[in-house]
Amino acid sequence: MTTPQIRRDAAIAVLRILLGVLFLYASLGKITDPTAFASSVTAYDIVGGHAALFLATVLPWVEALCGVGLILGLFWRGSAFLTILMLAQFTAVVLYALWRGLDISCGCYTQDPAAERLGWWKIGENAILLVVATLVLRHPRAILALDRVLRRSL
Amino acid sequence: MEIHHPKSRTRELLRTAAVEAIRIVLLGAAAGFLFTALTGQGFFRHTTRTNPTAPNDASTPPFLTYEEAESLHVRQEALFVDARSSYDFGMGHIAGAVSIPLQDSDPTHPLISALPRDQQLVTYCDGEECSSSIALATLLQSAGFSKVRVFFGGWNEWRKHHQATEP
Repeated sequence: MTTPQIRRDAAIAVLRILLGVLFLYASLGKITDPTAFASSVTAYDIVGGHAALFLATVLPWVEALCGVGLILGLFWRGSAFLTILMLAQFTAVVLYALWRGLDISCGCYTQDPAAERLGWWKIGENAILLVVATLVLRHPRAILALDRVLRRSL
Repeated sequence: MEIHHPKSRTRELLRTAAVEAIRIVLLGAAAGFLFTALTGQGFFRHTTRTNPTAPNDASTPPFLTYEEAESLHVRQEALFVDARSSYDFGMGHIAGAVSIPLQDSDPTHPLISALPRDQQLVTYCDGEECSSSIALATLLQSAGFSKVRVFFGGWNEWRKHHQATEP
């Protein structure tokens, strides 16, 4: 393997781990208080009641597993793929909320209703994360990844 | 040496990613339901159901009937404080009410510290089956609020009378 290839692999591994840390961090507040997260979901006025509660039960754990998967390089393709799907869905929901002029909390990293008011910056942030997740998914190799170790041992 | 066509490589990549993604979602759903079941949250949240044995005794704030609460609400003479969870509050509440979930309430709560101490407050929760309105009212009293009362019929009685609600 040439030096530029090694450098590229290392850069992608760093991006993968950073993305994983971000998703894991975002999931923690939602996991510890699913009712508050369901309230944040309801504030978007798209789903409510049991549907919001179902999302609040499942989504944070999927986020957390994706985070761990990206950090450890375990099921990293599936984690990156899901990260892209979730980011696309979050972006669509935020766009819809902004279009309707909702002045609500994002509910992305904290469930404090007074913090993290929605804004166009969120679209920019998600766009950057989408690019990172796509780069990770499309990269043919993963270094610092448990997947490699496990495949070798099989 | 094996030669992979770029299209077949992309297809293989997406297939692997999709299979792994399904596994992650299933595992996430199982973990989510197991965790909330074990911790009694989300779908498995239990509402405190204790009837006060002696309402309006010396240690608890005065209770309001529906008519009294309605009158205060119509005349906008009191701030209604919802003691239920923020999720329940989000699902519907008395119009103009503010949310101070009992589990989050302490004298340093930003809303509690911001309100003037002579503000007339009416606390409520679901209704006669819950006691968080009383607990919150007691806490507000001890925080220095002198005009705190409990609308004991709560959200259930309010809805029964088709009074103003949000959202």
